[in-house]
Amino acid sequence: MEGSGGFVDRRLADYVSLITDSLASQDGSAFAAALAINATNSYAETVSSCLDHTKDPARILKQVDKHAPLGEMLLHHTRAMQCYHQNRYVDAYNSLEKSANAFLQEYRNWESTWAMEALHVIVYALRTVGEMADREMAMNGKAPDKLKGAGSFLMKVFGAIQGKGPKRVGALYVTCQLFKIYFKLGTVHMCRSVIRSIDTSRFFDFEDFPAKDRVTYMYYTGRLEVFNDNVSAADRKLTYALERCDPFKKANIRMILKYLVPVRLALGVLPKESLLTKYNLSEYIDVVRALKRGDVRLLRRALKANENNFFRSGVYLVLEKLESHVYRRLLRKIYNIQKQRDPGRAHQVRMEVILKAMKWLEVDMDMDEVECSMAILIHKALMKGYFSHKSRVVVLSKQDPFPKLAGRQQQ
Amino acid sequence: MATTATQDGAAATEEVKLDLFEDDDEFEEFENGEWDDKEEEDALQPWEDDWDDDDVNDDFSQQLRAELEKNDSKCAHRDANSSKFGHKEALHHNQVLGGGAGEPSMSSQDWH
Repeated sequence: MEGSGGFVDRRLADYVSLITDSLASQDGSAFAAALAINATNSYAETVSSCLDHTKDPARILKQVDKHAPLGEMLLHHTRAMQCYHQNRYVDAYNSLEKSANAFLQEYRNWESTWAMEALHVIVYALRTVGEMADREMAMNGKAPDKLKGAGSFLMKVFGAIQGKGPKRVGALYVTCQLFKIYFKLGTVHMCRSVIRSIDTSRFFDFEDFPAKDRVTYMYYTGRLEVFNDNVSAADRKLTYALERCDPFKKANIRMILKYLVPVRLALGVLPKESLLTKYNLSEYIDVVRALKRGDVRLLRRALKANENNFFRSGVYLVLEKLESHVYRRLLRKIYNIQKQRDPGRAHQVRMEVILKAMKWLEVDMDMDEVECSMAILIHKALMKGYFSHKSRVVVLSKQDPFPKLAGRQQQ
Repeated sequence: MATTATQDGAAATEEVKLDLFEDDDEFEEFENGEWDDKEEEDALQPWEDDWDDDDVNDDFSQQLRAELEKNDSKCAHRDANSSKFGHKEALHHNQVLGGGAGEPSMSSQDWH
């Protein structure tokens, strides 16, 4: 925008005033809004055009030093805004990290938490601009490392605020941003140290953190429990997230359910089809039907049909283990069918009958494999009884041969 | 970016690389502010743990019963001429797998 240099200078000075005013009145929201880079109402475009035409931006920006030594920070931050607006994301990230570094050094000395929102805005920008910078690097044939760098920096931020003191309340947000980075990079093992810090804190009750951060935290740690096959812990955490999630955030509810459904299936609790349809999780519909019916063929088909989806989200192994539960249900059906015909002898199930059912369901098993499956069901206490190898018969307990599943720990 | 000649290759590499950057299930940011927890209990209600009953009147159970009752008197040994072993579907499946003309794959297994 060509024109009198003074006009552009004044606009930049106005921007600085925004910041100095917010510093003077300790207005956290205004300060945060001034620093936002990729939010909808960010000042990035305005600041960018100022910098394009201002002869000596440093002179104007350093006015802030009268209130707080953030002159250098603003120099880097406005440069980051300019690069961002010009779609130069690697440059934007580099300047942003310098800005964040300068800010953190100063912020450490501030006792009050009034500027926490601004810190979070910077943290969010580091992650999102870092992602864009990585994409830019990849497109230019370079090995991306900005998001990883953002992760390192965020650990520093976490370290600065997570100790004793009121700033700790903002630590869970930073934790969640770190989770997003690690999940994106596929380095989820790095979540461990922040989790330990949050879980074992002597200074803070988890419930004192903001609800939105607690929900996000439980969602990600719940997912980690799924990866580690800790079904009960996963159920607890994902349920916590589900119960407290903003009901209008349908996408987030869907994501929680995507992981919670397989976990609950493993615990013997089934979602109604209406729930799966409502939240667009139809890939689980046949899995649920298979469990209810005892239909091994349907389970295998459902797993095959959605293989890629289940693998990517990491729930495949949990679902695959459901096969035992389906066998159990099938056995129960056979038992009840026999009961209708001949109640006195129903508890004796001949192997060849089971084999017949397996064949019908296209399960390619021989007699020995059927015996093995039955042995596993008994061993897992999914079925009570014993089998006689010699007589080729499963003898079910006359009392409660199929103990109730619901809520039990998956084995 | 890339010239037309190498565009396909470059695009393919780019796609593979970008694929590595994704977490399909990244939680959306919450806007500031609280919300009413009890607004919608929807996602909490529709779960059932009483589905594991003894009812065998559903379609699947009826088909299963019919299947088990087939060839009941002959189930001690496999009749090579019997082509009625299982669903037509299962037959087709065996054929497709090249497992022989509808003969059950366990015919050679030990039965004693």
